[in-house]
Amino acid sequence: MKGDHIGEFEELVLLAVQGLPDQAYGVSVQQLLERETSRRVSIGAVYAALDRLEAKGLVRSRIAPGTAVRGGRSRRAFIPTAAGARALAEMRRVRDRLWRAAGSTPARERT
Amino acid sequence: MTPGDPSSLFRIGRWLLRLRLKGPRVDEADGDLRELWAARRAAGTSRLRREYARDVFGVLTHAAAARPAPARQSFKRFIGGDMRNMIHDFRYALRLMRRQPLFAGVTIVTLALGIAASTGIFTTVDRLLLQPLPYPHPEQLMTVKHPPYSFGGDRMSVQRGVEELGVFSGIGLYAPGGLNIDTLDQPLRVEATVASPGFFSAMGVWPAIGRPYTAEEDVPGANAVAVISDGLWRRHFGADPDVLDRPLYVNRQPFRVAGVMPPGFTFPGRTDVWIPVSSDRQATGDAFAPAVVARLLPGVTREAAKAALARFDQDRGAPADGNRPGLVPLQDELTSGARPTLLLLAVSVGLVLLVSTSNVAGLLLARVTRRQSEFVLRRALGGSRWRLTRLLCVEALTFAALAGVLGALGGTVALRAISALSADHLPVADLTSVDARMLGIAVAVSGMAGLLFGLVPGLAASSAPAAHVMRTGETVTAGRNWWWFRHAMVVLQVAVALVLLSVTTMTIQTMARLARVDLGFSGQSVLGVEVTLPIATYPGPADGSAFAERALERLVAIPGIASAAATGRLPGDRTTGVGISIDLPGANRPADAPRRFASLLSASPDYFAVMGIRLIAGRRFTAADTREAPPVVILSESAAGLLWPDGRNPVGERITAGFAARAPTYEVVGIVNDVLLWGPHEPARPQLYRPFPQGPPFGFLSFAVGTSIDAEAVVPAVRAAIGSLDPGLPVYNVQQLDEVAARFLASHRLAMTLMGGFALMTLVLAAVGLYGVLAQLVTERTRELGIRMALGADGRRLQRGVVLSGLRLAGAGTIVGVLLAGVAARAVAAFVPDLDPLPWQTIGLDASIILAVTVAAAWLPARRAATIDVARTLRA
Repeated sequence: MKGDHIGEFEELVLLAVQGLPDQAYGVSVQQLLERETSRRVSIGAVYAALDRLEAKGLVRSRIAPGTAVRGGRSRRAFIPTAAGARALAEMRRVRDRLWRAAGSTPARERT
Repeated sequence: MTPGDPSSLFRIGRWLLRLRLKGPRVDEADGDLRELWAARRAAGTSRLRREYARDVFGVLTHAAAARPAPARQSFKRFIGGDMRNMIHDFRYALRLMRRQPLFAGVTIVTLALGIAASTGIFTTVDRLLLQPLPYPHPEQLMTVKHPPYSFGGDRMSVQRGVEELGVFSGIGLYAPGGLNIDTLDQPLRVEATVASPGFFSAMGVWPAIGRPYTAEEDVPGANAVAVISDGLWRRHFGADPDVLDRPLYVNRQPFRVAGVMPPGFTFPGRTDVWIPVSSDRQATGDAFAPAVVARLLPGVTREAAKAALARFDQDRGAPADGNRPGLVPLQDELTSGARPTLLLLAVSVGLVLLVSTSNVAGLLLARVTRRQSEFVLRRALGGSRWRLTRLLCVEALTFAALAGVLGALGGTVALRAISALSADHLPVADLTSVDARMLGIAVAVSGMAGLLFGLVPGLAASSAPAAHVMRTGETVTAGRNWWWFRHAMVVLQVAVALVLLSVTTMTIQTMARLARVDLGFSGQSVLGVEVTLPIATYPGPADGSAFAERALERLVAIPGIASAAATGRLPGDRTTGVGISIDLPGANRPADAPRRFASLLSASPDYFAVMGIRLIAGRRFTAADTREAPPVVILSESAAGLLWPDGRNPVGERITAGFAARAPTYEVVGIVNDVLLWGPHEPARPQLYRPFPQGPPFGFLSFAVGTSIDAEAVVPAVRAAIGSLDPGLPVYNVQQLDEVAARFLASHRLAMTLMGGFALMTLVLAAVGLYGVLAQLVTERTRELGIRMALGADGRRLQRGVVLSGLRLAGAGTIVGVLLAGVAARAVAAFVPDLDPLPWQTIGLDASIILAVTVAAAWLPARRAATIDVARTLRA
């Protein structure tokens, strides 16, 4: 149970992988998250999240050939697994429900 | 190197990455970092190098936990670690304490309480029971129980016979008591011991100045000599080294100082003066039953000496029904009264220390769980395992040190309290400062526990996967593995609390029963005072009785004094009483039939009224019962029952009282209730009263004064009244008799108070422990509980769930505790002679108290569970 828990950052990374079909690797994920969340994202943190997601079976990776800008270094390309996609969908449902719940008591946090 | 040519920077970066990463991961990270560089340059970002360095560091950080640094390298760093880092760690620990004052306070106070209680009790036990007596070769010192002499026999010849057995190197008789010392300014009352010359050689202690007295000086008519204590020498003679042969007026008789004992020697009790057996008939009185101290010859075992003593006793033709002489180590004899209670307290306080230590262990474990992300971060940032070890060590030691200081102070206070409260019933021992070793052991136990329970889970926690912990803030790895341990600790604490509570209940019940016992007299607003009439000035019985009569006249004339009576010894006086054989005239009992003994007491006519002793039949003494009138006695109920088992009214009957066959006969004129002279523990003994003029006490005289105003207020007038009759007579043991009655229970009260304190401490600790476990449970499950509530779970149900978790633990502890308490109560009742056994129902009552307290402790975290803010929890 605890091993399957997905933290907020992991969720974002998983979503980014989903949103970058065939293009998801360390830098692309980091750049996307930095752009979309307007906050500093460390490449190391992205690696760690990807590692955990892979360990939980939510993403898969393969070694892809490098490009010139990388000095020819190979990269690790990620795609979400079926479980990963399901987890995202489930999370979205929970959030929607919670949003509805939060919507019914809108002023609570500000009191 | 310009920003445009970063190749050497990339080389360094790659080299750094290789430290932590393996195989394709190096290429991946290296490539990604180059790509990032390019992307940033394209975006026009400044400080490219700094960004690059930060990235490298980030990658290393996140990879750190996966690959711990080799231990040996870190160990070197640890050994080489300088003092500054230690101080840094120490200051960090203090800062943490300031930031979490509640945690720090609870931890330190818990530890300090355990340390203080155990140090105080263990020091007492050590000084009294374990430390050998402070005399040379204390293992050779024995007390002869039931010494082979009779009242009529020649004690000295018995002593010589025993000396010739060849098993003892020394043997001495001694009997503690009190003496008057006349000084220029005011009369002194001191504790004095009548001791045979062999006493000093048996004890193996020689005077620091002068010499002990010799056998030649211990014969009637010899020049009276005395040995004095170092304390009396300083107080009375101003520590004059030229003290030998100076006169010392003891009970108005001139003695000469033969020696001054070394400082600290006041055995037995707090003796200030030792005098030869034959020098003072007053001190030896009419019932001299001294204790016997004997020193075994080197190499002679106790068993061998005992056998030799038994043979000697047999050869003398001792009566068959008499007690056989026994041989008991002097220390055991001195501490026999306090030993069971002290050992009970020691075991209890050990349990308190166990509970407080396990509690702190639980607190530290919980804290480690909370601090897991800090530990992981430290490790990730390159802090070595050893660096972390040192930090945790320093923290644990800081706690232990602060608790140790507090505990030492508390222990000293506890010890002083024990010493003050128990002065009357514990043998003399130095109880002014705690034993450094005991304190050290207690602090070490606590420190070790702190180390163990802070360090091990801390290190385990620090090796949790870094990324997970730091991202999610979840504290999983450390906590779960130790759950069983914390649960077991709570169960243990609850069980121990119940055991201690049950034993405390035993002491309370016993105390309550003893307090209800009718002592047979009422000390309410009765003042007791004592004087010793020196034989030198009051040689005959008539002189004493005349003095008493005149004193009573003056006492009743004092305003505020309603009545006054005279007797020999008042209740509570532990000095050897006088027993007398009573029987019916002409009852020819066989020689080996058990004798009927009664305590012989004197009473002036008003004594029974002043003391509230009830007259059951017949009359009290009157002024007509003079010396010349027919001899009469008043018997106590049990004395009457001894002679007339059929329960008939014996008033008017005649009895004999005395040892010889031609013992005088008396007429029984009254029956009164039994008086428990020595407190409620001891069964009533038969008592026989004679009217004061017919049987005045020997030398000792006590007055019981019934006051109509505050008893303290009349004390000066009482002293003045007696002083006006004989200015040189010290008036001592001035006390209210209800205080005497209260003092009977003082040692019980002390044991009860201490046990109650221990039980309360463990109860609070167990409650705190349970609270801690449940609070942590709720904290850890906040998210889960929040989601459950979001999904429609009822807050009340969640709350019940938490309380139930607590109840499960408390229930398990209570079940274990009930079983243990049942066993413990029986063991304690068998071991401590004065305690009543505990019925199961009472244990059940204690169990429900424990359960109630634990439910209360579970309530607070449960309430928190029920009021979790769903929205906030899930956003967090």
